[in-house]
Amino acid sequence: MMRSAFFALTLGFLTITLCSASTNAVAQDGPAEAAPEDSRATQFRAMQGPAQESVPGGTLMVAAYGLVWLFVFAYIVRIALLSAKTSSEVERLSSALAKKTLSPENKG
Amino acid sequence: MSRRLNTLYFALVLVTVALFFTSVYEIFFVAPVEEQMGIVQKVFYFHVPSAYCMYVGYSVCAVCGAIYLVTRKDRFDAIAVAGAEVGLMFSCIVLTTGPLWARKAWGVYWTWDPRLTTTLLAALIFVAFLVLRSFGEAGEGEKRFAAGLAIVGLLDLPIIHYSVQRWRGQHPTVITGRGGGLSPDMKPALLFSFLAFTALVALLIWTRTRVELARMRVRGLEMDASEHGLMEDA
Repeated sequence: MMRSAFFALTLGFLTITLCSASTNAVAQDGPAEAAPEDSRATQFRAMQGPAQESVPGGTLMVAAYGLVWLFVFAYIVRIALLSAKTSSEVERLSSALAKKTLSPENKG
Repeated sequence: MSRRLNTLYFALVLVTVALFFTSVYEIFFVAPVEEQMGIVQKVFYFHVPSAYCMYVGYSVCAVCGAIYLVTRKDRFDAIAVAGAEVGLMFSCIVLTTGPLWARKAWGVYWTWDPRLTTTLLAALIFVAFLVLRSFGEAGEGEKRFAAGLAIVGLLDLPIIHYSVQRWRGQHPTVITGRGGGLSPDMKPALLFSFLAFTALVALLIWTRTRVELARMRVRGLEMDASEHGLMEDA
């Protein structure tokens, strides 16, 4: 119950953050530039002004926030799996030891 | 876990959730876009608190490792393991989100800047700690050696922090050292992120410590079972 609630909350966060980030990225990155693929294939033109490289800041930001939640979620999954495995081991060993202690040969 | 601790644990989960909702709202709907870097600067709101959580995790590991060396109480060893793991998880966040920002700001994903290099070094030291601890059933010798390694790792943390000033790296120093400071509109987003990440690091270290203590209990039960000849049956 506790574990599934934790998973649900993490998934919720992941969705909300990525939605917010991508909405912002689209809204604040400005209009996309016209794709130059067609003209690039047929002609080379000299650049006006200093050489510039366009790096998509919005995409990088969405990737960064996505990675944060991916790491957190993966670590929570790791802890949950480890916890489940440990609990079942404790149960198995405790019951085996209880049986052994209560067996007639040990009582005698 | 006692009823009171259980309530506290749930309260911490709820507080963490509320703080993350608030910080995400502040980052994306309130904080302005930075003038020069544009929207990619928003990586900063999760990157910096992650670095702080990395410091917290590694410090917890080293301090509890040192206490374990003195007291030999398993509880401190369990907290040290939890601190190392959580610190390493936050290192991974720092070392992946930073380069994504750097691609836009510096034009390259990675450069051997003093702060980046020393952060990577700290991550490698604590990877070594966890690898050492994962060698089969870590015995007393491995635990003590790992605790010593964690203390060495702790010495690297102030170097990370002051490396930018000492060796004049290009990593920004907006909120530390001689930076120009943060726009007042950006401060609430950073504050809520710090609070949310503080709650998250506490929650993760607590949860992982509980699991590690349970694993220690399993090891104890396995030894009992072995004495009763039950391990051969399994």
